[in-house]
Amino acid sequence: MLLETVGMLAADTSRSRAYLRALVRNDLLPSHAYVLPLASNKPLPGQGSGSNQFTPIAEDCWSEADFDPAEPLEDILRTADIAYTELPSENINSPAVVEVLRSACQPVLIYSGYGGALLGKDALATGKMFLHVHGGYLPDYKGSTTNYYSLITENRLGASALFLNEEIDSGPVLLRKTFPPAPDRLAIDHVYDSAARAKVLVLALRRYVERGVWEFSLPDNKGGETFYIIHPVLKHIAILGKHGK
Amino acid sequence: MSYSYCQADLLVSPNRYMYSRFEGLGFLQDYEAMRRACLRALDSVAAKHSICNLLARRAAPVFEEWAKRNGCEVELSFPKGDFCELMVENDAALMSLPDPVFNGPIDTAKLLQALIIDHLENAGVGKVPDYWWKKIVQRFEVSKRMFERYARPVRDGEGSHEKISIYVSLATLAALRYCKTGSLIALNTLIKVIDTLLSLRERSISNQEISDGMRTVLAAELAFVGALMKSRGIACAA
Repeated sequence: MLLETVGMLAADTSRSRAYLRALVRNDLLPSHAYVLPLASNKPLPGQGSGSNQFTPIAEDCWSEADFDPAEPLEDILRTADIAYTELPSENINSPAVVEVLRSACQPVLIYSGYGGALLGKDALATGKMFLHVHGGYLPDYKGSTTNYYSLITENRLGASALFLNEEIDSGPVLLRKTFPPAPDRLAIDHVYDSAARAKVLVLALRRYVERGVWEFSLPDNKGGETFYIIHPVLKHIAILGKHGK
Repeated sequence: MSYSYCQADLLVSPNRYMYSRFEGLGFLQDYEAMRRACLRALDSVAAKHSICNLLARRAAPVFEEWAKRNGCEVELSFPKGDFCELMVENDAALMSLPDPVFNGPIDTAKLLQALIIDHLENAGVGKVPDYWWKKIVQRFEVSKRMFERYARPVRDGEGSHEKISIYVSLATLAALRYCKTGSLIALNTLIKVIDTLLSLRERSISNQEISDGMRTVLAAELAFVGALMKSRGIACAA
């Protein structure tokens, strides 16, 4: 099904691949994709390498873990017959990119940018609603690499679909979900974190299609804690730990 | 294998820690060994009178008490010497935290000292200390640097970002907050600040103005991380 009112703003990352594969698998196709180019040979944050040796998992929550983190984005777009435009800059906040977004026909844009890149005031002022899936259960886990922190404290992961506003991870939440520990904790960064987000994206879009409107499970996304990029020592504890609290 | 996160001078080239590599149990062993080696190197460094060292000595019993409650040890001892209790000037001024609506310039060292003393003398958590803690952590995490002053609290840094005692005070505060709240945000900040300090090598390890501070935060960090690993079933005999 082509979602006329939904486009996608995608950087060339493993997360974007997970999203697109999930959307194709569940027949929820964005009507247009706006692709952030890769200006240099140096990998940008979020670009995975290597393959995903996926073994089918019985748990439905990991249904979107079957994707290739290295598959070229444009290959997925072409085979799914999704029209796309390459943006003029890898910088999401450049005036040229903002202008393209402003002119986009779709009022809602699924956002999947490069790691650490935040949408600035100008992009947010284009009038578009940016649908982002945060890798963590909101409002408790705002900020960065939160799934590693929640693995340590609660032995679970989370993902939350929200519309972006100027405050980080504080926009109204459409849908949020918790997940059991990833089957392979070594693959969290490029597979299971992306798979959790892709699953929530699919559920949020399905709900929109069924109901015809965007409904919020947490309209007032206040409170919680803001986490910062996890230190490798704590990341190793999250990965190697045998059980939660 | 060796612990590689404090090899370069992190005040010159800060670590972003993005998408860090998984290196297995050996990484944690190397981290622990490296920290213990630094702690041992501090054994021979006497302490000079300084607010930083004084506050660290005052904080030490808090960490010892935490270790006792959590069934572990904190390896903390202060070398004998002429170190004596330093009278902190303007104690009352140091103890009062600015109100969050305060819009004037902030002296970072004094703010950190006030927050530490608030932990030692009062609850250490609550609307006002939490507000300043979040601001301080945000500033450090964004740039991995702490400036002597902030023109608008707490945003634009001014002055030097190389006052080492400020980083030791930040580490002391983070350790106290972890003791009080168990917050992984505090522990995360503590480990990163210690990376920064140890990347300075002789400027931090041989510096008598901060040596008690260094001993205290290193010992506390090892106890916290050790207890966390043990609670998660990770055996880390280096």
